[in-house]
Amino acid sequence: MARIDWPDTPSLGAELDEFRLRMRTWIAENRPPELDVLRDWNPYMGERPTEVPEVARPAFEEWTRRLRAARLICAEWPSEYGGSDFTPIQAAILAEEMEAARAPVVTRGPGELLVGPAVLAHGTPEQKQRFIPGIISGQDRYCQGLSEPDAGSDLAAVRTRGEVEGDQIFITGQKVWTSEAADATHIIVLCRTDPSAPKHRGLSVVLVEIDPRYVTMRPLRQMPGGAEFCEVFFERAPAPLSSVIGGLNNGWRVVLTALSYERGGAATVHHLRFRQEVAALAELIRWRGRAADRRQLAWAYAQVELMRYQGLRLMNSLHEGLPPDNGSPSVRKLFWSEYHQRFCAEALALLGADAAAAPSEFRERIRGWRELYLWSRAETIYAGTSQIQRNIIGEQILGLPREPIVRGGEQS
Amino acid sequence: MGRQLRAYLGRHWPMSRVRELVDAAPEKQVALRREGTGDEMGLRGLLVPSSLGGLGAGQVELGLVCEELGYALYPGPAFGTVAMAVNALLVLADGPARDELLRRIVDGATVAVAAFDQADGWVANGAALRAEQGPSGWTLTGTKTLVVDGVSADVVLALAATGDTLRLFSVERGAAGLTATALDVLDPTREIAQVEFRGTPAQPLSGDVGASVDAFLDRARLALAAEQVGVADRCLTMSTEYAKVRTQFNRPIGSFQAVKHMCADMLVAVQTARDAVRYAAWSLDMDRPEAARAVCIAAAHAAETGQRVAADTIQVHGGMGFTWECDAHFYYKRATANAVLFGDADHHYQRLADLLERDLDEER
Repeated sequence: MARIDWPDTPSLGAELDEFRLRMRTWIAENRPPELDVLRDWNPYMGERPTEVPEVARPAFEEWTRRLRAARLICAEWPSEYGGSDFTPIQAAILAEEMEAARAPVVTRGPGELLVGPAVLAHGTPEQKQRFIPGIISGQDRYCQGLSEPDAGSDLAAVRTRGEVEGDQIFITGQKVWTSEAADATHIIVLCRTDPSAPKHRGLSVVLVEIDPRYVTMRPLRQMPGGAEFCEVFFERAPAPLSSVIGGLNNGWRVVLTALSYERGGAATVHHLRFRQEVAALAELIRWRGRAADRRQLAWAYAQVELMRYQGLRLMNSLHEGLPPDNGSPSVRKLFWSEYHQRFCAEALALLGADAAAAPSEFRERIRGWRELYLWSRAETIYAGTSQIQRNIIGEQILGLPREPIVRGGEQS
Repeated sequence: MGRQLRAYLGRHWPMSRVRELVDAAPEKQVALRREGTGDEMGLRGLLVPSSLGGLGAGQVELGLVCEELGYALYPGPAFGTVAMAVNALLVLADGPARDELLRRIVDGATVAVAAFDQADGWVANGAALRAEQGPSGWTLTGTKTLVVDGVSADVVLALAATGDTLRLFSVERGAAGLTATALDVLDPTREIAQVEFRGTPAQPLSGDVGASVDAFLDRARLALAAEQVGVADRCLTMSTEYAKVRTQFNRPIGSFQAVKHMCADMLVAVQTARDAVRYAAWSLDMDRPEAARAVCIAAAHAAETGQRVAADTIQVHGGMGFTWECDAHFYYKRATANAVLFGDADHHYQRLADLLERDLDEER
C-alpha cells in the first residue's frame, strides 16, 4: 500500500513535546501486534466508522481494555468521572500519535460525541456521576433521538412530546436518522415539554433507557444499500424526571451544546481521517490512472493539508486561551464535506465504465470505491446541510442579514 | 504591521489614485509608478539583513506585506524589489557586489528580477539568456520575459546560462544593448516587461545556482500567492458590503441565500488560502522539510480561488459589476493575471505531484 509522507505538527513547547513522547511510548508498548493485520484498514470510510474485521476483533477488544485502563478513552473528560482531564491540545496530540502508529481509534460514538459534552456542560453533579462513567466504560451505548421526519434543518420544530407525570416523564413520538441504534442501550431525546411556549423555549433533552416495550426501532434503508440508520417510535416511553438534562424547557440550549461537537481536540485533528484515503487514491492511480491523474492526487493531498492548517489555527487559539473564531465549525464542515464528495467522485471516475459495471475479479475493490462515493452524498446533509452552513457563515461571520421569518401557518 | 500598512495604503493609495495611474499616458505612467516604490512605507529593507541596514524580516512578514499590497491593488514597483529582488539576492547571491545591491535597495533603488526565459511552462533555466565572459567582463545576450517592474527598474537581475551552469547577474539601467519593453497586459495596474539583452555588460553575483533557483522561485511564487489572498480579501469585503446595502424586492440582496452563499464561499476561499500562504511562509522561515510542498499548495490554491472570488464579486455586484466605474474589474484582472504569472494551478499541482512521487518511489 502506498505510504504518503505527511508533515509533523510543529512543536508547541517542551512540556507538550514531552507529553507527545509519553503518548507515543505508551502506544508502542500497548498496541497489540495482532492489530498489524489492520494496517490497511480504515477506521473511517471518510466519516463513517467501519466495522473491525472479524480476524482482528479479539485484539481490538484487548486494545480497548488497555485504553480504558489507562483512561485514554474520553480522555478530555474530568478524571472525577473516569476521564483524564486532558486539554484539547493533549487530546489532539494523542489522536495524532494514534494515527501515526496506525492504532485504531476507539470511540464511544454518540455517547462521546453528543451526550457526554451535553451532560458535562448542563448536568448536575449527580447526573454526571450517573451518566458519564457508563459512557466511558461502554456499558451505556447511546444513539441520537433528535431529528424527525418534519424537523431536520429546522430541529426546533420537533413534535415528539415529553409529558411530565409526577417524578416521571413519558415520551411519545417519532425520531429518524438514528445511527448506531441496533446496539444502543440509551437514546438522547429532544422533546417538546411545553407546547404552549414559543418554539425554541418549550423543549427538553432527556436521556432515555431503551425499553423495547415502549421503544421500537425500525431500520431505514439507505442509498448505499445498508440500514445503519433507524426510525424510532416512542409510545409513552418512561424516564425518570431526573434524566432531564439542564432542566425542563431548557432543551434548546442543551441540544446546541450537544451539536457543537466540532469542539476541542477532535476538531483540530479532523483531517487525520482523510489521510488514509489519499494513500488509497495513490494506489488507485497506480492501478488505473494515467499520467494526468497525478494532479488529482496532488489536489487531494493539498486539500487534506488545508484542513490541517485550519486545525492548526484552532490549536493555536486553544493553546493561547483565545476563543475560537466565530462560525469556524461551519467553515470546516463545509470544506471537508464538499472536498470529500469531490474526492469520491473523482476517484470513482478513474474506474471508468467499471464503476457502473464491475468485472468479477475486481468486484470487491470497486465496490469499496462505489460505497464511499454513495455514502459521501450524506456528508453535505447530516450535521447541518451545506446550505445551512453557508447561511451560518454568511450571517455569523459576514454579518449578512437573515431572510425574513415566516410565522407558522402563514402564507408567504 | 498589517493593519498599519492597510491604513496607510487606504489613505495614500486609494483606488482613485490607482485609476489615475491606469488612465495616464504611458510615458507618464512610469513616473507615476515610480512614486510608489514602497519607499514611503519603509518596506524596501523588509527582508534585508539588519547588518546592511534592513529589518531582517522573513517570508511571514513579506506575506503580510504582499497581502496588503494586493488588498490595495498597489500599482507601484514594490513587488519586484521587495518580494523578488531581495529574495533573489539573499537566496542566490553572495559577496560584496550582492551586499552593495542590498544597500542600494534600502536606499531606494528599484530592482526587477528577469527570471523566466519562456512563458510556456514558466521555464527559468537560462534557456533564452546566455552569459559570456570576455576580456572586458561578462556580457548577456538573449531575452527574458514576465519581468515584473522591468521598465521601472534601476537595476535588472537576470538568470543566465553560462555553459552548463546557471548564474545570477545584475545589469544597470541604460546599459548598452538593454531594452525593456512593456508587454501588453490584461491587468493595467501592474507593469510586466520583456527584457532584451544584446551583448549587455553585466556583473556576476553568484556561482552556479541551478540547485537553489527553485528556492528563490518558491519565495516569489509564495509572495504572489500572498498578494492574491489580499486581492481576494478585498473582493470579499466589497461583495459583503454591497450585499448589505444594495436592496431589491424590498430587502438587502445579501438576505437572499443565492447571494449570501456566494459570499460564504468567498469567505471559505479567502480563509483557506490565507492559512496556506501563512503556513508555507512559516515553513520557509523555519526551514521545514515540507516547505516546498507547502508552497505548491499555497500557490495552487491561491491561484484558483483568487480568480473565482474575483469573478463572483462581479456577479454579486450585478450590472454595476460589469462597469469600468466599479472597482471589481480591476481586482478581477489582477486576480486572473496572478493566477497564471508564475505558474497556473495545474503547474503547481504537477510540481506537488512530482514531490509526492519521490516519496512513493522511495516507499517501493
